[in-house]
Amino acid sequence: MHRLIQSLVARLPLGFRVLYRQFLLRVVDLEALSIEADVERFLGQFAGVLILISLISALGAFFSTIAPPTTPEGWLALAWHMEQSAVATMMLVVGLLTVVSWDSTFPDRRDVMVLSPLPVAPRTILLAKVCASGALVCVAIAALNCASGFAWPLILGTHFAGLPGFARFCVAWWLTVVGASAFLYCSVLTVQGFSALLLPRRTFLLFSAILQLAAFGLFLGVYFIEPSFLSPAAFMAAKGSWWLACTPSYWFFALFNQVSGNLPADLAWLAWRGWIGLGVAVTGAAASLLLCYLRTMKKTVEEPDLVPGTHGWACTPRFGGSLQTAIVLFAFRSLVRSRQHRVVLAFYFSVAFALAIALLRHELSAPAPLPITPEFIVPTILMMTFSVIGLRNVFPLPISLTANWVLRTTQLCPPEKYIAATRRTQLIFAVLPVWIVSAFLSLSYRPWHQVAEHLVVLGLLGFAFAEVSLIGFHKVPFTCSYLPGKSNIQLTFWAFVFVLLILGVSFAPFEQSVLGKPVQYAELIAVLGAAAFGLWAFNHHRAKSAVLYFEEIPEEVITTLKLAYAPPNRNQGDTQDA
Amino acid sequence: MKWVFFALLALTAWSNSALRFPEASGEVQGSLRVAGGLRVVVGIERSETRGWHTTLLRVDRSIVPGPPAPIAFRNSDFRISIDRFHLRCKGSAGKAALMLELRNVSKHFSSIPAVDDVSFTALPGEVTGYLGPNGSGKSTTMKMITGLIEITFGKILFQGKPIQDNPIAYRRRMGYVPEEPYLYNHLSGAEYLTMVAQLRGLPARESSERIDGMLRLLSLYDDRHASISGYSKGMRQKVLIVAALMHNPDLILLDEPFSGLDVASSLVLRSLIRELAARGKVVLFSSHELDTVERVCSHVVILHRGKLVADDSIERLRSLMELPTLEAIFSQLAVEQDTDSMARQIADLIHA
Repeated sequence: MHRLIQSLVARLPLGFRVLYRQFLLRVVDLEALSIEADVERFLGQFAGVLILISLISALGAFFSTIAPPTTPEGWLALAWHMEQSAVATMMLVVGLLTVVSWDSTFPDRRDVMVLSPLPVAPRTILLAKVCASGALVCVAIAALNCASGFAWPLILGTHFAGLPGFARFCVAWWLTVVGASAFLYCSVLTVQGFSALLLPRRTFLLFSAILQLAAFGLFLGVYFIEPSFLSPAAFMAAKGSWWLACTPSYWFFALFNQVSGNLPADLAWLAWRGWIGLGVAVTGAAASLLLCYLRTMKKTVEEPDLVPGTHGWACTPRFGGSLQTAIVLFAFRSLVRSRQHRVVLAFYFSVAFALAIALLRHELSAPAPLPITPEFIVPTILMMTFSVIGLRNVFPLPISLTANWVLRTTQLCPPEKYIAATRRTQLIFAVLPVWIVSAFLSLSYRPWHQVAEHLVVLGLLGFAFAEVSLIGFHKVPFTCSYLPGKSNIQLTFWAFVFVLLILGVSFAPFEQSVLGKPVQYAELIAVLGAAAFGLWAFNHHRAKSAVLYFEEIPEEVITTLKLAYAPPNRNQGDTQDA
Repeated sequence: MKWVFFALLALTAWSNSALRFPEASGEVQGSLRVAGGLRVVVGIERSETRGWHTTLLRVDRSIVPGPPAPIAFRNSDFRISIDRFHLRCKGSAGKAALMLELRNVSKHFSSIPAVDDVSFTALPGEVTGYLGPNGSGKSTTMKMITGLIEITFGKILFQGKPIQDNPIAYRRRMGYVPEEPYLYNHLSGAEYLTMVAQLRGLPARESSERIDGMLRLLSLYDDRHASISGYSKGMRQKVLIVAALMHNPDLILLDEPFSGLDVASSLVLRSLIRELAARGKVVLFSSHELDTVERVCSHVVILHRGKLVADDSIERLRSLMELPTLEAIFSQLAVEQDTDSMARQIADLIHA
């Protein structure tokens, strides 16, 4: 089998094989996602995580047989829940893949400059690119469904229609996940391709960056916010809703049931939307890719990759002294213009705002004015937490290490000034936006004095969170080399989220109980103020003796070679010699 | 005025000192008493029947600020050259004290010496050329002088004080153009320069005027709001030059400053370097363009495999080595390969 594959691969043109391998290693946008710049390792980790998710899901299928639903409605609810979550998760994973492999299917300037002088046909480049990015999606589909794609059809299919039911469920499952993935991937390609065709290249690059961020937020947001419909009655009740009509995951859920033979006739229109959407997306992607390779390759070389600089800000805002202004503006520009930083920060903001919307959706749909409740307090604290942690986790990601020499040769102030500027950056870009959003959301709530009191508490919490997040952070944002693994961002993030989630949820009822009670409220403010001031004083004191550093120095590891002298065992030596 | 007085005092002391100029052979002995932050660089010339020829040896003595202190010279078959001393005392003594001095500086990377026991002095009013083949340690030295990398051994002094003593004050007076035009590509040229001005604490209005003026003179004004990622190498180089000079530094370190510049900009920069030196700046200039170095520099330091192989004025080197050009001198001192033979071998390899 291996030889057969090898002989088949050997029949492919050499140019295609070389390019395919190169593009496969570059399919992940390293600028957007940097894991030691090791794409192979990233792909391995990525597939590993998906396989784990699949195994956990398959384990769920096993547990469902231990305590199975007792009624047909229960079975239907279980089946629909699993189908909806499988489609939604698959679409989220493919959506995130499109974000990290953004623009990789289209030739960039480097491709054109390197490959154009070589005797390589554009169709070879096109095929190699499509195959490379398609391979990534295929790996994701296979990994995410390798266990759950058989376990759930086995449980559900056999329950509904015996062994033929299992086969039909299997086909429906795999067809749906492939279709949903292809729909999403091709939709993104279509939008990108036609944007590249219609817009001037420089405008396209700007638009593409914004589009990438919007897509990221959209995929995460929809995943968290979309409601689950677990019965035909619930679906029928939501028939006229915007969610049902415009959310592709429901189309493919209906498509699944159409193929498996369980779709109520009233929902057939949803399944047809799925088929039509898939056809349109695939056709659009193919057309845009072809046109792009025929028309935009020359345009890529002829037009510069830059948005023309016609004007700057007439008046640059100031954020304190000249050093603080320089650092804050540098951080702002890095966040706005660096794809990597934008995407990572967007992850935290998207999760925060999606959670907030999910929690506040029912509150805000009620007629205003509303009384302040823990259901309003919790999301605002959560948003603040995610925002501060998110920005803190983005700070250590360097933007251009080789350019740091300028910060080192112009270091004319003591480190504490730089650390103060970093704190200001955290307050301006993490605490202030969430505070403003919370203030805006609180317009629907009354009485005003309680709203104001909550906003004061939120501000103090934000300040305290910012100080906690900056303990030991003696760097200028985005300027220090990053040693993956040392800061253990993911672990820290989830630990923080877990702890602060519990604290936030338990703090909210307490805060609500003291709002409008002057003495208790004053005590709360005093405690929070003291904590915030104490944290500030602690950081300020440490900053005075701090050394600003631009390189993470790996911890020294002593490795013993175990070369200590050991007297030889004469008998054993003799035996060995013999 | 105090420094001028000291300079005059030093000159007087020199001419009336116990220096005894020997005959064609013999021993040089001398002593000199000067005060203040003056530094005396004494060249030693070898006596031969045809006249006096400068050797590559020099005796450098600096006098730290403080009370008058004697310095003594003793050598054989040498005489003390005082013309360099006169040269340096043309300006005020205060400017003379600006000099940059490297004393036995070494840099080892994992015990491998990249720069080995290098000592030289760069004085105000002259452009010191810093030459050497690839990998000879030029940029490493530059980075040590800027403080970007640590020195393994030795000392770097500016105005007679080790630069590590007060790095902030030192950085305030230093301008540096690095070898590679590494800039923050996500910023525009104007944003980058404004950031550097803000980091240097320059007043906003003054820095804005300087930046705009310099960008106009360097024909970069119209592109100042474009992102640096789209700049050509020459445009990046211009940004670096503006960033290095906007705060009117006393010490200017130029590591391959002509890299990527067009002809007109190169000519402007060449004249600018001379002009800055004429205005009393200490300019240390590293380049591979020997023709430019010959035109711009009055004094060259040549490095080979991390070691100093020459440190003198170009004219003296020419006369000493009896070679017509700096290129010939450099080839003799620092180029080991037969370049014509190498070229033939490469051409043969392509044809094979």
